[in-house]
Amino acid sequence: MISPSTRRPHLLLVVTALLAITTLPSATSPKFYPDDPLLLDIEDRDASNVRPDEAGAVSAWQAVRGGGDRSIGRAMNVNSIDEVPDSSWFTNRIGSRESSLDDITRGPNTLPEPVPGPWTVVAGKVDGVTPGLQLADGAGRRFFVKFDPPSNPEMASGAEIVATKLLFALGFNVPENYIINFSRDELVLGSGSTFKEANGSKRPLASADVDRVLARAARRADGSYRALASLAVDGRRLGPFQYAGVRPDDPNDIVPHEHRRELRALRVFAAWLNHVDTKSQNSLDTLVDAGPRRLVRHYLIDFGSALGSAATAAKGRRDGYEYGFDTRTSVLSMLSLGAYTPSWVRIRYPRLPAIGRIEGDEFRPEIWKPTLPNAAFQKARPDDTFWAAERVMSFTDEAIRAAVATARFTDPAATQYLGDVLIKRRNRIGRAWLTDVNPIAGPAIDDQGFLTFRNAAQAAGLTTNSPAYGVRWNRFDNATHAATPLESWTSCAGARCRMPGALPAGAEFVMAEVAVTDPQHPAWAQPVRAYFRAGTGNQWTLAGFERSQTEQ
Amino acid sequence: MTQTGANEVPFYLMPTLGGGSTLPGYDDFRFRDRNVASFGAEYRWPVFRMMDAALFADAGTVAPTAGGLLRARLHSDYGLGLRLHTATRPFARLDITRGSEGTRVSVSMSRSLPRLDHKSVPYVP
Repeated sequence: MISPSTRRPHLLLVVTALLAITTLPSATSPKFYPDDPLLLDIEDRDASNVRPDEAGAVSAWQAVRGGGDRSIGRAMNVNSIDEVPDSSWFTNRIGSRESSLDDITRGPNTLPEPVPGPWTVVAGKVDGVTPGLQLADGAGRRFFVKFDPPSNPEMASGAEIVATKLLFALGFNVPENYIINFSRDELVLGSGSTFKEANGSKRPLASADVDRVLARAARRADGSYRALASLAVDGRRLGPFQYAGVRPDDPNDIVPHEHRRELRALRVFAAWLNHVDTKSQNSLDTLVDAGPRRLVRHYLIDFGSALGSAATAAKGRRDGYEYGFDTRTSVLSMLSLGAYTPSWVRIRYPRLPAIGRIEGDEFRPEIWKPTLPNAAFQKARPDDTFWAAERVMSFTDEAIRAAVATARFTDPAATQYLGDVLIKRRNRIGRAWLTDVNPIAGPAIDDQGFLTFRNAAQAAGLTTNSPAYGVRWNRFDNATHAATPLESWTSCAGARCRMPGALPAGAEFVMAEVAVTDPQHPAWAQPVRAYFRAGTGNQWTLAGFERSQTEQ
Repeated sequence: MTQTGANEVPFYLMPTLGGGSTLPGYDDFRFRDRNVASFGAEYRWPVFRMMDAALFADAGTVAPTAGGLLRARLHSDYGLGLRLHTATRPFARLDITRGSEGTRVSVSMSRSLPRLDHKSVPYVP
């Protein structure tokens, strides 16, 4: 038996060894590996053993405070050039790759339309406040069908279609959504179809059950119904993902979700689209075949509460301005006996039933809030919101109007208004978040030895000045991470900066620090760092990019 | 509100005041007679999405005759309340009421969630 006195040295030895193991890699590992920057996330482990988990409810504490890891460090899934690699969560589309108007209006859809003809009612339910139908088209594809509220025909379906197109273009996995029209006599009961009662019991579906559901849906003047048909997504349903932590049984899910850049950036995208209902239940994981293994794919679903819609009615005035429980407003309202009037109370909205309540003139993206605090949104840093705002600003006016047109509003004024509003909100997103940090983007070294880049804020017309640029070149040691200035700060001729004439022989990496001088934006003076790897001849390729030097 | 009647009425069927929605600062059925008059006012303001606060005051009296209501002593109370509600209806309330016979706290619940009605849209999530 080992006495306590003899144990202590062993313990000390173990602790020392652990410290050595912990510190060793950071001192010797290179900053950049040969395959940097990674453009595709490494998700190479089989996830077949993942089990469905439908628990998506948040605790009361999460509803008030958000939750998740307390640290607000740099997003953990960005690659060496500060971008998000493609993954089971996100695919780079607009802002990274060419996106035509056709790409945007098609969105995730693989069909021009569901196959016309009689619809087979496969199932229905009335449990809770979400009764509805599942319909199969002529080709046997199963759709979840939602209707518009009688008070706001075309609103929820229109909002969902537009949000689907834009979120897909931004890079997220979303279901295939279609606008469908049908009359009651085009619905036929499928054999073996079931109806789920409010108490959860199931029984064979009856024609009267279909009528019960349709009685609560908006109808067109000719008696037909317009609905949103959402095609069941591929793979086995696993339940929602959480916005904090990881899915413990998914071996590829190693980055806490609140530290995923695309989920932090969703705070910006959701503000643009007024998508207040970003709770966990409006997400879905599925298990899909991916070659030799199975992977978990992560979807955003249910955008009926985006734009001016609250699904069952127009959005409330406080939507987007307050959390469900907003401590400050609640206290002020309580103590002032209601005399405190938030500014959103006075906002005027046009009377457009197909739109609901959304506007662009009073929109302040920095203070926009979802209904429930979101752990990933709360962790969003200026480099995350800049990344997101660049993508939002990538939508041209034509692209936005093309996406809005897919809602097929009957009232042309509704189409025009929603396009106008989304353009105004896009511009406000840019003003809020492209100017927070040094807006240098897209650095490259051309074959004449000039560093070129663009100023994302200037390109968006967000400064009235002609900013001045300064650069300092460094030799960078990839092994030790040491940067040695090659010369002092020099001015650039616009967005072109000449490399030093004589680079040290054998320099494998150079690092350019680029600062922007603009009296309107003092924050731009904080330099960005662009790392370039030597190639053949005079070729230099971008290996790394840092907008913020703060890792934690 | 007034209630009057000329016929004989069993005392337990007489109009009452006190508790519930009439003079919540007094015990249930605290005042009882053939005629009742009561009135109240409530000022309500939103606190957050699912809760309103309210300041209220009530007064009322009972008397054997309708004319007696004008001469009877007026009983009154006042208080502060909180109202929890969904988008379509209230489902719980808390009232703290002060009357001449003391302070009462009352909590009442109604159906916690609205049943499906015309304001609910049918859909499958």
